Formats: sequence, structure tokens, C-alpha cells
Amino acid sequence: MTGHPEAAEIFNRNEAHVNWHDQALWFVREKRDKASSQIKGWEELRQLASEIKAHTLSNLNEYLIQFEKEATKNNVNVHWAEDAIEHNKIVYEILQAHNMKRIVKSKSMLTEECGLNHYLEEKGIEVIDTDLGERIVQLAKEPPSHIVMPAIHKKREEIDQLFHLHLNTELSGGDEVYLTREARKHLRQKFLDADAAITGVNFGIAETGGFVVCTNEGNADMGVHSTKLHIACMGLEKLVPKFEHLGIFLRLLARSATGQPITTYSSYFKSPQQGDGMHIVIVDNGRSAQLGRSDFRSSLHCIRCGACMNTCPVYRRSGGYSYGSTIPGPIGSILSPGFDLQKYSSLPFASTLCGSCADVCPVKIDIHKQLYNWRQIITEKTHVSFSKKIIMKATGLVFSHPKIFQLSSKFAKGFLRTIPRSLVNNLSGKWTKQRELPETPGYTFAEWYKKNRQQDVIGKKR
Amino acid sequence: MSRENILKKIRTNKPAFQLLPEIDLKKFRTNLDLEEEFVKSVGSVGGKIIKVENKEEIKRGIKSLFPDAKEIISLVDDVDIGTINLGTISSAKELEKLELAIIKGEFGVAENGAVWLSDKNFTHRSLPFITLHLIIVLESENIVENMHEAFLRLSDFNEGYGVFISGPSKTADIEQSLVIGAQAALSLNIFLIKNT
Repeated sequence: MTGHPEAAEIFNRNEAHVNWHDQALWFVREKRDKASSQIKGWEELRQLASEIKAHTLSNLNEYLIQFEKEATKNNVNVHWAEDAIEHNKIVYEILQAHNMKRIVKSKSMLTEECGLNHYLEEKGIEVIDTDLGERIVQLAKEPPSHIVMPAIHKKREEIDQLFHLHLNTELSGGDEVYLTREARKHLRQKFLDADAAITGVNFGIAETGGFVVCTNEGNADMGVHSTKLHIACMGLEKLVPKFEHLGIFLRLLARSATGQPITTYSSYFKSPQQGDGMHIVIVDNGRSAQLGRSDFRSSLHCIRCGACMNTCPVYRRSGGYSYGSTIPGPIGSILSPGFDLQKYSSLPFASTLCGSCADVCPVKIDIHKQLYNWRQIITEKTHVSFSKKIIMKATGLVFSHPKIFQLSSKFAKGFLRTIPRSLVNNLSGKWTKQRELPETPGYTFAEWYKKNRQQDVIGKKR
Repeated sequence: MSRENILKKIRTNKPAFQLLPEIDLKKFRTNLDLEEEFVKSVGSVGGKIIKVENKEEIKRGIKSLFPDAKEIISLVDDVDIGTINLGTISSAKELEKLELAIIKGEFGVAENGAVWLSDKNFTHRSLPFITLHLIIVLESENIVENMHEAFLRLSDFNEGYGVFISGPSKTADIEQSLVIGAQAALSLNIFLIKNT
């Protein structure tokens, strides 16, 4: 089975592309830093958001019932789906009941998770993704590689070719303004011809039964307001208790995601426009099980901003597809093992545990700690390679006995200097695939310390 | 039934009750000039501000910005340059060729340049999106500092739909290059009018 290291190796074959990908994401991370440092009380906001989410989870059943009650009062139909299959079925049955065949959909990672497009297409329904990035990957028959920037892995020339092939555009060398305008024309027609609109949900509000959808392109609103039927698909962890809590989350979301002060459109849907229909599908699909895992529970705080991906040194250099899961990157690596421990067993190891993800997380999920915790479980419960096991055992022995440590480091320095490089690389596995070990100095750290610093320390003490 | 199964699993799996935190809005307050900050923010999100003294100036301003516009809907009193009556529109399709929508904004938010519009301000929800260009008229005294203040103002909001609009529609999905004008309005001009 292919895990993260194998898939990352494929991505790393094109070094120039990796460097470009790395820098494109770091650029977004820097914009996030700038945006977050410009407002007063950023850390207080993160703390509040984290505590509100923790509170919500501790009372989630009551809030879901309240949400359902209020939404129903607002003339909205509420549905419950235990898993992806039930979710897809519900959506299909609503569409079928109205004989609707043409759907425009705005970005929703939940429908990706459930494989909704594929399911509906097999039943003869056209689903058009209307976010530009999502439309690009849909035309390329690929899943999104990032949750906020679905086509971040694609170069402009590739997009130029794709549009030329599918939308009959002129080859423009990848002119972003031309391509965006052409996509606009193409999607306008799709909006106006569509029967129904499907959206995700950024935040559901228990107090009012309303929900918020955020976009920059205006594609969610274009779809919903052009059609007679709106189906919103919501993971059950998306709730916040009160309307006023949106003030906190809307301040955090876009700044963390792209460095914008807020998305262009933050739309609050409470009841349908006169004569139209509105449905909400509340989806579990493994979330209630994750709620029961105390070490991983706070992963359900996630508001899908993608900041942990943009900052992650592993994500930036291995790309979204190397994770093989709907949600990639650090947050995906702590959510996915809850779905399928065996299938996603390599993901918690796709990290340096540097903790940068937790530092930028707007809802303060301790992602790096959860990655570490999954490693413990995976090592115990799944098949870990023999060589990794032996190395871990030996390392444990060496580090817990100072005498053995001293001896072995003295030995290692000589060993690394005398044996051929190729053998060292072989022994260290994938770590030396894209990088070289540094030259080893002629002394150990303990020897260096004794010579240079110990006197100072003792001197100061006296 | 799925509803009962889900709720039962949550009841079993949820952690011990945790209190909601107290929110102290003082922590987020600054002494910045609201109008000045709002103008700055709108600029940073790709919108334009035109400061005016009266409605006549708005009409003149729109004429000079869009001299050739023919398909216009105006929902602002005394900015009577509309050519289409929204009351006659029954579907978004009929707004396909709309060039200008002129709508009154309820209030603006200084920290992010967003303006709140709702069902109160327009009867067809697609109006601010489907129009080629969006024009918002906002009274300069209706600016709040941040999103917390915005939701305080909305505490008795009871319409079916509302939206914060911050600048014109945009995308950076092609190699992170910003393009103003994606699926919705290509531009946003905000006429900031002194309260009369």
C-alpha cells in the first residue's frame, strides 16, 4: 500500500515544482502573520474560539436539537445522516423529488469526503463545482489538493491547457485575468441554467437555526439565489451556540486562511426566499466517534482555514495528494486515522513535530501532540516495519543509558567518517533521499562542551 | 433512526460539561478613527470609496463612473437613476444583463471594510451578486469598529438572509495571482454620505 513517503517521493521528483509549491504556500503563511498581527487581541480571540468550540462539543447533542428546532421554524427542512452513503442518498432523494438534474455546487470539503459528485453523476445528475479552483481540478478530474486553495499545485500553463481543451478558450500562456473572465462566462451560464444549488456550511448557529457560508468569488450566493432549491451539507461539529459568536470566528477565519481581513462574502442564510426550498443535511460520518477519543477530541474544533497546511514544512514539500485523504496536511493527519487507522497509518509520521501547525491554528488545536499520540497507537496496533521497530528499540536503549550513549557517539563519529556515504544513506532510509547528512566534526558534542563551555558555567556559578 | 443514533452516540461520547467563556469586548477596542479605518480597509480589499455631501453628488458620481450604463436598478431614495423596477423581476435570469445595482448599506465595519446588507435592503437576493457592478450608499455615521460591534448591532436581526460584503468578488486560484472580478460583481464603489 502507498503511504505518505512513497507518494511524497513522486511529488519530489520535480525539484523546481516542489520549490515553487513550497514558496507559494509560505507566501500565504506570511500574509496570515501580517493580518493576525494587525489586530488587537488576536491571542484572546484564539483562546475564546477554542473555549467556545470546547463548550459546544460538551453540549453538542442539545445544540443540535436546538439548531434543528429553530431551522424548522424558519421553514428549513433538516435531515440527519449517519455516514457518507446516507448523506448522498438524502441529497439525491431531495433532487429526485423535484426532478432536478443540473446542480451548481460551492466549495464543501464534506461533500468531497462523502464522494457526492461521483454518486450524483452516476445517477445522471450534472454537478458543476463553481469555485474557480474547484472547477479547475474538476476539469482535470482531480480532487482538491488543499482545502482553501484547491488548485494550488497547478501551474498556470496547465490551467491554460485545461480551459483550452474543455472551455474552448484561446491559449494565453496562462493569463490569469483572461482565464478568470472566461471561467466567469462559463459559470454564469451554469448558474442561470441550474435547477438547484448545493453549498457547504462554515458555521451553523444553534440559537437561530441559521448558517454562514463564506466565499471570495460570490459563487455560493450566485448559485443559491439563481435556483429554486438550496441544499446545505454540514458536518455536525460546525455549530456555534450564539449568533454573536460569529463575530469571533469571522475575525479569525479569513485572516488565518489567506491573510484577508474577512472573505469578500460572509452570507447568513436563515430562511429561504419566498417560494424557494432550503434543506440542511447534518452529517456524522465518524465525527461522534472522534468526539469519544479524548486525546483527539479537539480536532473537531477545526474551522477548515488551512493555516496548518500553509505553515507545515512537510505539506509544503510533499503536496496535498501525498496524504491520500480528503483533508490533507497536519489537521488531515489527525482526523484521518480516526476514519481508518490502517489506511492512514503513515500520516501521523508525515510531520517533524515542530509544532508550527498548533502555533497558527485559530482554534488552538494541539495538532503536534495529537500527531504524537496517534504514533503511539499506530505503533501498537498496526504493522510497523521491522527495521523501524529495531531502530526504535536500539535508540531507546542508547538514550536511556548515559554510558552507552557516550560510547556510541564516540563510535558513530568515527564510523560516519570512515564508511562509504552510500552505505550511510542506505541505513538511514528515506531521510537521505532528498538530502545529505552534514560532515561530521572530529569530536562529540560532550567533548566540545567540555572544552568550550564547562569552564564558563562553573566560573559563573562561583 | 439516524437522528436518534447520532444523538445517542454524542451523549455517550461527549466530554464533561464546559462553561462558555466570558467575552470582554474591551480587549478588542482601539481608539482608531472609524471612518479613516473603514476607508483604508475598503481600499485594501479592492473597493473604492467616494465621499459625498448629498444625493445629487451620488448621482453625478455614478454618471461619471459609468457613463454608458443602461440597465440600472436603484433602491436608494433620491438616487432616482434606475431604469428597471425590481418589483417586476421574478427570477435571477431576468437580471442577467444588469449593469448597476445601487443599494443602501446598513452599516460598515472599520476593521475589514465589510458592509452589511440584508433582505431589508433588497427584495431579490441575487441583486448584489449578479449585477456587473455594485454600488453601495452608506451613511458615514453607520460605521462600527469591528465584527463584535457588528453583531451587537445585529442582536435583534430577524430577516431570512443577510450578507457582509467586503470589496468586489475576487479569486487567486490561478497561481495565487489576485484577480478582481470572479463570479459576482466586478467592482464595488461605496458612496460614503454625511448624515443629512
